[in-house]
Amino acid sequence: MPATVPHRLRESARRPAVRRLGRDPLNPWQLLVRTTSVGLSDESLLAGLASADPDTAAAFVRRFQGRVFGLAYAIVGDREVATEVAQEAFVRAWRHGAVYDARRGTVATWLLTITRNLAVDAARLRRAVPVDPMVLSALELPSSDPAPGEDVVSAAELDRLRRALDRLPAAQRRCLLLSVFHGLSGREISELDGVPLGTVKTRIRTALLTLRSSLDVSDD
Amino acid sequence: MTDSRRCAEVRELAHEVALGVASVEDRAFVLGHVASCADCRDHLAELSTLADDLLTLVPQAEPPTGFETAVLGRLGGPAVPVRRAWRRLLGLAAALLLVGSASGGAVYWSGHEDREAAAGLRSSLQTANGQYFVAFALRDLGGVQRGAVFGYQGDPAWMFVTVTEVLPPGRYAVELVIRDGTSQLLAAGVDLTRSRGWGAAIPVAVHDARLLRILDGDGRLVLSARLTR
Repeated sequence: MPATVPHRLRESARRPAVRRLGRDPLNPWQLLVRTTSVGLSDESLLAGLASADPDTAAAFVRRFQGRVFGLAYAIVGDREVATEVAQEAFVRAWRHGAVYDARRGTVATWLLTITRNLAVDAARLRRAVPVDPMVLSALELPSSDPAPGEDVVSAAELDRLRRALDRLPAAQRRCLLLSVFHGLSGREISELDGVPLGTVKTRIRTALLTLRSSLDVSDD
Repeated sequence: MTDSRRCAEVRELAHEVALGVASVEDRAFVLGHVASCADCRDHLAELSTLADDLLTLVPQAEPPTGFETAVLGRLGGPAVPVRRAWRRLLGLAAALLLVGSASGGAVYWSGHEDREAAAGLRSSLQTANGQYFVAFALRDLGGVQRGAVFGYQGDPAWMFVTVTEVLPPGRYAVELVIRDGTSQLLAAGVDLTRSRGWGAAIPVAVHDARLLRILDGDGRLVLSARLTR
């Protein structure tokens, strides 16, 4: 029997058991807030998708298609390929929805992690030059108005994360974003940028720890 | 290697594991260590959360026209509700009966065993006011079948779970997800390790249930069955 590990640490997707940004999928109040906005929570829609219920499957796709396609397009930089990737992400969610575990993270991040992995694979297959991560970094935040059914506390928290990311030194931010959005390892970034491997690893580690510290301070 | 040295080494590698770009060896080393080190596990979980949250920073983009239809088309269309499938089966059986009677008695004996089985099932269903009996695969998180879920739509409707794989010792909860997405706890504290099976009457019709989940003592999903065809 497999040990319980976060979605992110599993093959298909990864996610930690404890949410640092204040989103607790089992928190009744947060569930209530999410549920009352449109009647069905993300988890309910995913259950509907997994069981091929046509109405909830359609609602699930409508709710997430903008985010899924947006991430795919940001990574592969081609609308046609991004469309294929985004469609496949929903198919994977349908196939594996039955084993989604809310304790390991939100539906949105689970789905986006699947999308990111597919997009990275697609980009590698096409040998595409990664979109400059600084372009990604310069993108604006998603609307601060939560989408129907979306966790209302998330927008402000993500805004804090975005600001912390913007405060990182450019070299650190580049290494981190190349890793997060393009799935490049330290060695690959080292070769791409002509920087020693140790330096790249230090930049990524420092960037993540700085972000974590920034959020800890904000939490206080 | 001492524990503290091992922890230090894991901390050096944790960020690549959290970002999903670590080598297979590094990943196995880190995950092996965090299984028994709570501090490093928490550290890794925090970094992983952070990495996941970064994905959500990318703005939404409008997919091309027809995207939703294309996705739904790839999902294979709506599942046929069990009740409707049962009616279709009855219709098919009636059609077969007509064809069978028209083609004479020779055909009659060729399906003798099937007819006996069908008659046995019909008799069993009638005994307990049943409409149908179905079975579904019970799978682990990796998609491997670890047992089965049997559903009986009668008065009352019930389900029985069998587990073929030995589960870690502990008490398990059995939960049903209904078609509207809500979940109902069927039982808690079930000892599936020894009994390898559990069953009970269910508060909804079998065809209204979508998923059956088995959770361990910490509420983590262990096994699940998709209750649709």
